[in-house]
Amino acid sequence: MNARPLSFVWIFVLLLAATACDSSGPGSFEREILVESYQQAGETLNPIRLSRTVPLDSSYRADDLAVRGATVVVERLADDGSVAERFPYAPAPDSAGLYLPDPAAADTPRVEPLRTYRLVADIPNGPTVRSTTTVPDTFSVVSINKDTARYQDEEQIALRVTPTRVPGRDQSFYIFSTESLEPVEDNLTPLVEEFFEDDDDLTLEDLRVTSSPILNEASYDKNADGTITIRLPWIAVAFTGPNRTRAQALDDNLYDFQRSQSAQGGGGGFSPGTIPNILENVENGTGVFGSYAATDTTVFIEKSEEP
Amino acid sequence: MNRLGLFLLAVSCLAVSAFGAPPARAQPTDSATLTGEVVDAESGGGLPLANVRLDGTRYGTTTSQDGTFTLTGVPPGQYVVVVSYVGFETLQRDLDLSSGETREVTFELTPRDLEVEGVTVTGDRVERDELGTTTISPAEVKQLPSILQPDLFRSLQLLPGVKAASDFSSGLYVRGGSPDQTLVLLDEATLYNPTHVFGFFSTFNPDAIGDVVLYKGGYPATYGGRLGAVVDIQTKKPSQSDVSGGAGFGLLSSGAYVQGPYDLRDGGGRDGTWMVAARRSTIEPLLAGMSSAGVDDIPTDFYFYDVNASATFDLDERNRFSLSLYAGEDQLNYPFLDDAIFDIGYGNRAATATWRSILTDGLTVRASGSYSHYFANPTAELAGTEFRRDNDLYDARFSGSVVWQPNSAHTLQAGGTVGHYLTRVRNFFDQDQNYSPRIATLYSSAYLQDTYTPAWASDLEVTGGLRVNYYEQGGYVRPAPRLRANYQLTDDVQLQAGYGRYYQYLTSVSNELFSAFDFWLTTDDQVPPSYGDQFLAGVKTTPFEGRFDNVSLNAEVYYRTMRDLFEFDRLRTDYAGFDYSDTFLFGDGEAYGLELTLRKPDGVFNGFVGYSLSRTERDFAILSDDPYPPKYDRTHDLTAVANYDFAEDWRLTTVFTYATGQAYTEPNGYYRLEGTPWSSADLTAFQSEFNGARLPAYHRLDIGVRKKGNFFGIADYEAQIQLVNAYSRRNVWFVLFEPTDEEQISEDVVPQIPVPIPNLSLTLSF
Repeated sequence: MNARPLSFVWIFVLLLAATACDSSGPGSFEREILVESYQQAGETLNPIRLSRTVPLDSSYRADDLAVRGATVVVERLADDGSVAERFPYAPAPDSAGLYLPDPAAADTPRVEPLRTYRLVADIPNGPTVRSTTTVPDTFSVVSINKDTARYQDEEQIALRVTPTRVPGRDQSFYIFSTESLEPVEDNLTPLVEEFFEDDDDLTLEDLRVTSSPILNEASYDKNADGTITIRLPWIAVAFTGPNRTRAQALDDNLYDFQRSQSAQGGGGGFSPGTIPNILENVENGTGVFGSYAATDTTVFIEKSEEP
Repeated sequence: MNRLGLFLLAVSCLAVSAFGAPPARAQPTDSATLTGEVVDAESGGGLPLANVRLDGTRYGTTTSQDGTFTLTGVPPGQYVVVVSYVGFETLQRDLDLSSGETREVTFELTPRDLEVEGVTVTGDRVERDELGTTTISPAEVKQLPSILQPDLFRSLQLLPGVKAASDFSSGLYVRGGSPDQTLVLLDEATLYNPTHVFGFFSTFNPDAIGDVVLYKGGYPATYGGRLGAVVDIQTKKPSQSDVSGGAGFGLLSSGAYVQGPYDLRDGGGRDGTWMVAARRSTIEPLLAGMSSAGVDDIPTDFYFYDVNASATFDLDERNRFSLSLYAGEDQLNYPFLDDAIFDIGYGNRAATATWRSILTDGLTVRASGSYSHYFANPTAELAGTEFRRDNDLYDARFSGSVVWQPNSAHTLQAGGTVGHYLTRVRNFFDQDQNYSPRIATLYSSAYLQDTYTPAWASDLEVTGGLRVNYYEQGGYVRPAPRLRANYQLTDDVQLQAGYGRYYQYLTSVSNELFSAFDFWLTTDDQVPPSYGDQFLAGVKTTPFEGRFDNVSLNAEVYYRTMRDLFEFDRLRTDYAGFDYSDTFLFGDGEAYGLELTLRKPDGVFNGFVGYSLSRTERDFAILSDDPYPPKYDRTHDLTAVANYDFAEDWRLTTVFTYATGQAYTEPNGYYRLEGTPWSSADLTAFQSEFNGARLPAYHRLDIGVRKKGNFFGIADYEAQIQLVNAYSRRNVWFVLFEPTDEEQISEDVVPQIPVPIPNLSLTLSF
């Protein structure tokens, strides 16, 4: 009988020893090529930034991280997947890592809605980075119920916009943003002013353009003529005064990037501290090569009356 | 052979040897029947899973959930009945059973009052514990050191195999399962999100409940609907002797209860019993004082309450009708910024009516109806933009069961349930309803179970059952077999094994931070039910016989799968316009582990040490390319609970917990995007292995001292002073990574309870 308790102790100790250690740190860092590009339907091709990721404990110095000497091409694909057009890019002379549509071309080409574009970037001594986007259809503001409103007035600013669509998807995903045309501290709305005062790292420039979370087309009223009525949520307004309010319809890449990046920052219903991975659609790299369609209008937000 | 194969082999061998045996002999016509109840002598409440056996024979059984039992086919003669139950003194009584007699007996067990002298348990065999099953009494709940108030679920979290997400959560993470994989029953009514203070406490008032049974895994065919575990809570069955009551005063809440018998008919007999218990938060004056003193961020309104009521009515000696009611609610109004306010209310209502009839010849019939309503209406208004959710869940069901013991070898149970489930969620953003699933569905189940003790091997007991579930939403019919075997190898060693297939048709959308936002969704034709297999085995021993007779050591191993898990897709911010199935992520999981429990239930120095070595993983491709541990995975989890009765009426209790740090995501790299069209600020994105790192180990010591006495001859009192987190361990809750304006990433470590939290309470009983 006396030997049994001792046996249990030994078994226990051996089990502990066999399984004692869980890894406590993250996996090793692997530097990746970072792509950043946002192409707008109906507008000229936008620049592409190529950079690199950094370890968590390192400072982010854009100039040090810039990818120089890359060969960058954007290809428009035909319906059968073949290359219909090629748009070479060239390094910007005054910004390392930034690539611009080839200035030697006669006209800067425009991004055609509902077309698919592919980025191909050959990195010196590195991989070939690829990413593909299908551009949402353009849309526009048909009317606005009022262009001046008192902040938090019961009747919100409402835009009637034409519908947009992305091939292969049942509905559009929007982000509504408000850009202050007079971003001064005196114009801050009360809630944002409180954030601004509490956070020393926050600047007025950080708040100049603020946005809603991603909202689905199905959330809004569809009118008989096919237009959609969108109300501007007051939470998307950071400054009173003149504002440019903008509706943006996202492609799949921007949709995936934005919802996962937002979740990393605490959005969504994850438990606090949860950091899901970014949903990326970049081959041999990271970041986003996306497209969107946008329309905007200018409104004036008056300060609400003091209670 | 892998561990799964070993389990299957062991279980198959047991099954073949059991069912391949010759049929049991027919019950002799001159045999006797022993039937009745095992109750708590103090409260009168029935004790579930108590052992009743005839000493020196193979005749024995365990009580059902309400404490009733029946032993049939007993040869006439003189016996010593031994009745035992964890935490109570073992009772022995001589009985003389005559030919053809049906004897009804109520055994009243006295709680072990663990004072200076200690108590010696009678009996020569290790107490029978069901595999994967633990019972806990309200007295144990009240005695353990607690944060602000005693709490059932926080006490359960101390058991091996049961984990907490944090100091702030009462959610039960049982054997690698999330809280929604545990069925929570209050008198047969399912409770959904049974919490107070947004998840900090469970909703069960220790003054209002009886003993609680936790099936950590491998639960029998009598239960269903969850992949993992069952917490079966019975409202306290009131005392049958006299009217009595009590009142408790704590820092967060205070409450009172009163109970007693009633006699409607003349003749001095007892017609039944009744009980009412109520509890309410009493922290409002403190909040008001802090607010008037200029302390920021104080809720303008906060309260919670719960009320339990129960009554029994004995129609005659064999028929009892019982009714139990529950209502609980939390309300918070919290203006956390000048232009931002939370207004949150949520709660539960439940009712159960039961009729039980003990028929002759070992036949017991039960019928019940239950109703449960969970509601939550959280609203936040930020800068004039309203976020609102209206959430209601109704679950109504009728159940019936029969327990029949045709002879001493077999105990047959059969039953069924028919129910209706309705969940209605309406999400509003800025007045627009953007998500509104409404699911109404019928469900039903039927089960048959036989507990077989072969005549040729009286030390072996095999329980096999089959439960068939039907779920209208999707039209799913799923058979779920269950099997358990228990073999008494020697007087002090039991071997046990079990297997079960389980299905789950619900998933909860839960936020660890605020449980008031929880809601539940179900399967449909595009969302199949989750299912899983559980394999478990155990050894229960008293390894120190001769030196410490009552010290038991239980070891259990388990392996379980979780297939077709469906979880709400939290990566979306708006769910309008999606097909129902597109709002879910689908994945799998598994869990396995070893649990050891060393228990010394009595004596001046008593308590238990629980240890678990376990692993659980999830595999959801969108979150990680490889399977990953959820945050509640703990490789090692050790809990030591020690009571020391250092003087008459005084007790010192300590609880020490150690656990491997929880899994979390620590980024190893990051990048910044400088030109997003919808923001003038840079956006930072992290690169990381999902849940690939571990927080520092968790450990905490809680200490409590209890004094019992008499309050000026008016009432008995029990005063407690407790200190939670005695040595100020700053266990990490989570870590936030944020960019700084110095172009770096800062780490903001958010602690769990970082300082010692005192707790004072006084309970009076009369």
